Amino acid sequence: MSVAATDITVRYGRTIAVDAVSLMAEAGTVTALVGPNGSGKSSLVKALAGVIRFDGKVALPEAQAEGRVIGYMPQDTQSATALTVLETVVLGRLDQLNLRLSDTDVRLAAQALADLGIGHLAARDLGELSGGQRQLVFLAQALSGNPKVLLLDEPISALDIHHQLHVLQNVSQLTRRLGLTTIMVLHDLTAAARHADRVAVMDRGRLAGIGSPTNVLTPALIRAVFQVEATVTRGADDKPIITALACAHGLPSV
Amino acid sequence: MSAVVDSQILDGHRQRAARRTFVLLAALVMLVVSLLVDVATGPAMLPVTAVARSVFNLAQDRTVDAIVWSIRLPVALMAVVVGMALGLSGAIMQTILNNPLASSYTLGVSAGAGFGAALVIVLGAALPVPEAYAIPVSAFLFAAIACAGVYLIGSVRGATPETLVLAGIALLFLFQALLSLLQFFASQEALQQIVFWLFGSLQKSTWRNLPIVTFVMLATVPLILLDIWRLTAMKLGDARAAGLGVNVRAVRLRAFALISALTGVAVAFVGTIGFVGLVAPHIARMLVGEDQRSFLPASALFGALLLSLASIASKTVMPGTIVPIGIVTSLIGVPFFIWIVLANRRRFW
Repeated sequence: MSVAATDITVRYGRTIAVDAVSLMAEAGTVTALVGPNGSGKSSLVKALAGVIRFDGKVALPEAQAEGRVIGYMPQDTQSATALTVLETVVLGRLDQLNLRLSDTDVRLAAQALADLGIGHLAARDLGELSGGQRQLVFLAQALSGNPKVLLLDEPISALDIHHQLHVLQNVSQLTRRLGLTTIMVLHDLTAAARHADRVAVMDRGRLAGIGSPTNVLTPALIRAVFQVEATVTRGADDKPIITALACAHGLPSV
Repeated sequence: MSAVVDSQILDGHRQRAARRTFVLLAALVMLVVSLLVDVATGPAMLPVTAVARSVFNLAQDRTVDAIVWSIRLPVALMAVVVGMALGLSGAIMQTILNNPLASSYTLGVSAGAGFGAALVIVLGAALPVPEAYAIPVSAFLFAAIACAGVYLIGSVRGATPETLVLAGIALLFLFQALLSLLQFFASQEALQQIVFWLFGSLQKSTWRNLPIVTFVMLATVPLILLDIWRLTAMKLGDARAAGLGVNVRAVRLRAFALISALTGVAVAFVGTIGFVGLVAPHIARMLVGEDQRSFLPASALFGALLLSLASIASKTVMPGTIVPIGIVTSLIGVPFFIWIVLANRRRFW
């Protein structure tokens, strides 16, 4: 089943961060949410995750017997705690944990870490890790809950290009294999165009465009939304490559 | 995933769990030893072995039994139970506010209790409870009022940890100002009584009030266990905890109720005791990490150990005089706390 959000509005005091946005995402697909800073991407994802107050309606799939509906990974903030990586990932299945961790709990967390190639970090304290490593740990946490919907807020912002590709490919594969509905906020338009099935462009709290990357990420839309002159070319695999050339009218307002 | 990595992670997890159990057991053993030494220490020094025989009912010596059971054991046990309550409340506060400086003492709860006690001392007992309990009841009530105040002020625009901490600091200053006002108008006799209460003292501990503190402390345990994983999740920050399905506001409200009960009952009978609630969680964090299943019991045990050791020190630093326990904990606690912070800076906070 898909995710259907209708007329989502998020307010912070008098500021309207998300203005009556409706969005539909199918199971087994990745939707990239792009847009300038302050355009409401994170607020929309938070509303979908149910972690902030909002007006509107969100229809979600039903949870599996031993899983969560949503795996949500917020933007990276400093989490200087004395929890180990394993303990952090185990929390992805918080509702199913007993006082004593079972071998299954530990194995599932270990599996999620290994899937992202960071099994060797299991015993380290979270506070000792780099920003990129922490991002991978929180992605493992989101995946370990066996969710139906994956909501990722800037999952690759602190990663090197190797790990960016690793994460995006993993997310795409898992989404297809497990039939997840994945919505992720990205700043890199080329990454969005190459790894998402659909791209939704946010601009000042509203949707400026939604559809396949080739249809949506055009030089005209990029100029209108980001105020950037850009070229869109095709790679060897026929997927779009977006190159920003110059600011069109100075810096966009944030 | 390879079975080798799988078993390595599992083995690593088991080793860490075993190490944490060892730390908890070691702290427990040290606490028992400290308790026995505390009972043995006083104007008439008793051999620790004689104290142990009396406490565990292995032999009868009327003089030793009289000193141990009538005078020193309730005081020594009160140090343990109050230390546990303060360590536990400090740990819960640091967890839900995600702030290593949080404790009942630094965020106005103890100051609230101090004001409550001073109010009864100055205005006289007007509460419908026996006179001996008027001060503790008032101290308990004002600790609860301070806790509720921190929560309510901090919740006006969404209960973020930062607003709650600032609300706590505001209330600390408020209750200190109100206390100063009371002291300004107090008689000489009342003033002396207030100052002594604020120093903190274990000497009023009796077999009658010890069970009250113990009961409240034990009653919080099952309630803490219900939220133990949610509390651990809150160490990752409100947004991540909420993303994991934790109702952050509800957990924080329940935690504040527990902190209020633990601090209120601890401070009510022994006065304000600083630093235990702040330092004990730091020692626990350093040794067992922040998985709350180990962190909270370790904070309770180290809180008890600190106060028990402080109780011994209070009787030995100036022979013939029992220095108020609150002064001892601060004097020992400050340099110790600075050392912990410097030794672990940038790792956990």
